[in-house]
Amino acid sequence: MKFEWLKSGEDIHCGTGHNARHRRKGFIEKTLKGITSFFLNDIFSEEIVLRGGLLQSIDPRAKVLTFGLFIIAVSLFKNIFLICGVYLLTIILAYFSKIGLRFFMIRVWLFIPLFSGIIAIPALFNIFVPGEPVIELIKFDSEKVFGPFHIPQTIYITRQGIMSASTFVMRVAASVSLVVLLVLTTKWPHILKALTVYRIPRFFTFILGMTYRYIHLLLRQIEDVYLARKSRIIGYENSRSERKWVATQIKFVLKRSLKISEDVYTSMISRGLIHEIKVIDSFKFRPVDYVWIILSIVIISVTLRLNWL
Amino acid sequence: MALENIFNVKGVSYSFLNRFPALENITFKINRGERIVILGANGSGKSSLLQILDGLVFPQKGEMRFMDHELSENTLKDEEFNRFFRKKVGLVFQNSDVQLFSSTVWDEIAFGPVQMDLSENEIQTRITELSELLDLKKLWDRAPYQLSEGEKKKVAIASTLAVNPDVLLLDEPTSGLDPRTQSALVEFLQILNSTGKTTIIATHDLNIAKMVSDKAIVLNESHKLEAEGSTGDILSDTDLLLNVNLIHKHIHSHDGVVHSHSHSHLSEHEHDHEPGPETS
Repeated sequence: MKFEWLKSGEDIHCGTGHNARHRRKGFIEKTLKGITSFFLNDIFSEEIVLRGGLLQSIDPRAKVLTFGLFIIAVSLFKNIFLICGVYLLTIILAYFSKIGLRFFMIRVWLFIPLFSGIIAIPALFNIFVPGEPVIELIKFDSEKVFGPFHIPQTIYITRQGIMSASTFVMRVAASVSLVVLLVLTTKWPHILKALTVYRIPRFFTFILGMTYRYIHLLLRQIEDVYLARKSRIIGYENSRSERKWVATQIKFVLKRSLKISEDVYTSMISRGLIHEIKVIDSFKFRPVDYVWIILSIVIISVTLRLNWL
Repeated sequence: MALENIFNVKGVSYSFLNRFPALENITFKINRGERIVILGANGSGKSSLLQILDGLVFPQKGEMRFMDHELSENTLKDEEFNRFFRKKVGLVFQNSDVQLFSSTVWDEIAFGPVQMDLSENEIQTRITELSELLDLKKLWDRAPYQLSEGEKKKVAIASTLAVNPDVLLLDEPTSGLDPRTQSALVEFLQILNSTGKTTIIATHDLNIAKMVSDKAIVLNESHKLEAEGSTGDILSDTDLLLNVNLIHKHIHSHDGVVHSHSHSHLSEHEHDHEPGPETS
């Protein structure tokens, strides 16, 4: 008789549920949750865009233009106080755009130590940038030479080193703040569309837009596959078998994304794509956008003038 | 007056990667204004047939003609014919996710008309009117991934209709939709039919077939044309439907009497309870 095994239940000890040992979440689950939250909630969250703040009311083209000019100006500033001034301006703009200041600052400063701190730290020491000593760290018996490297007798933090490292870190902080402000207060598709106005190739921005759109689809599919697998796992898995599963999944996700890209291209052809993708620009400048652009250009010009005085 | 021929499919065979057969020696004609349903079980080749009718894939054997023009990879390389064909024929894909590739709903509906070089005013008028008809205005600024399946399907239909095609191809339009959205869609297709558009719908849902078509083309599981005729005649031919796996024998009991009926794949479990031949 077939399916006898299916007709009878199988006994398994259920336990009390009180003997749970603390187990860490599998690395797949943590990584997937991290990536999903990063893309869906942090990068492309529209919650702040929909708040009716100052920057949200400015035309995306005006914002892309002026923020681009501010970033160029920040990279030209030599005076750290001017750079700090721009950073302060981003905080004021964040406040009037109804962005929580703690949230805004954490988001900016989270990446600074990672990307600029590592580069800036060596500049503090007299090994790389000679200057006036501020804090003495190590004193050797004599100078040491290792091939092309020269280690002075006393290693200390220099005043010039502190200034150049701080200028560099603040420059990165101000630039990142400007980009974060732009992304938080503008819908991603609108940023892409605004870029085409400034002669960024349409094909490039369209592909960026599609990447953004299909990241969501693929992330959801990967999550579903992971949950389906999780629901059928009995007991716990070691990280080796998890890694093995991830390797297999990478292949399938790649294949799936290739299939999607073929289907998407077919559907574009079906809707009239012949050679080049054409897009329509639906933005309209309002007086407030002109005021914003003029004000920004005045601030940039004055600060650049101060920088070169 | 002779009916104007839209599609003329003669002895068409198509296989994936030249190895896996999808269609075998298919021949039929479709005239202007007809309401056609292509019926067949899963894997019978309905989607492939729609893609061939939309000039997206091309048969290895046979001949395809559209409004008396040869429809082939070569003829579609002619930009003028390509533009003419894409303007006349629109396809709503089964998987809305592959059809909705733009960043926002507004851009999605605008994509076709923009490729057709319509004026901005005309594009805006079409987007507004279609959005009002399908209740999409509130979704204009939303990204396709934020939409429900029903909303995605409506956007997919709007984006195809925005080009104002004479022939509308729909691949399993009701799959994955809840009953209310299904009914709304069927109602909308009926309205569309009344405007004189030719609609060709691929489905295995017999319930919607009778509501949205007058003529049915049936594919069997060997990927061949099994039958062609009025939808009413086809749907009342139980043997034919059983043969192509569109309905199945269902055995169950009522009031202690075990009897069997035929059920369509997706139809609801409702039927008259006249006892059938007793089987036990």
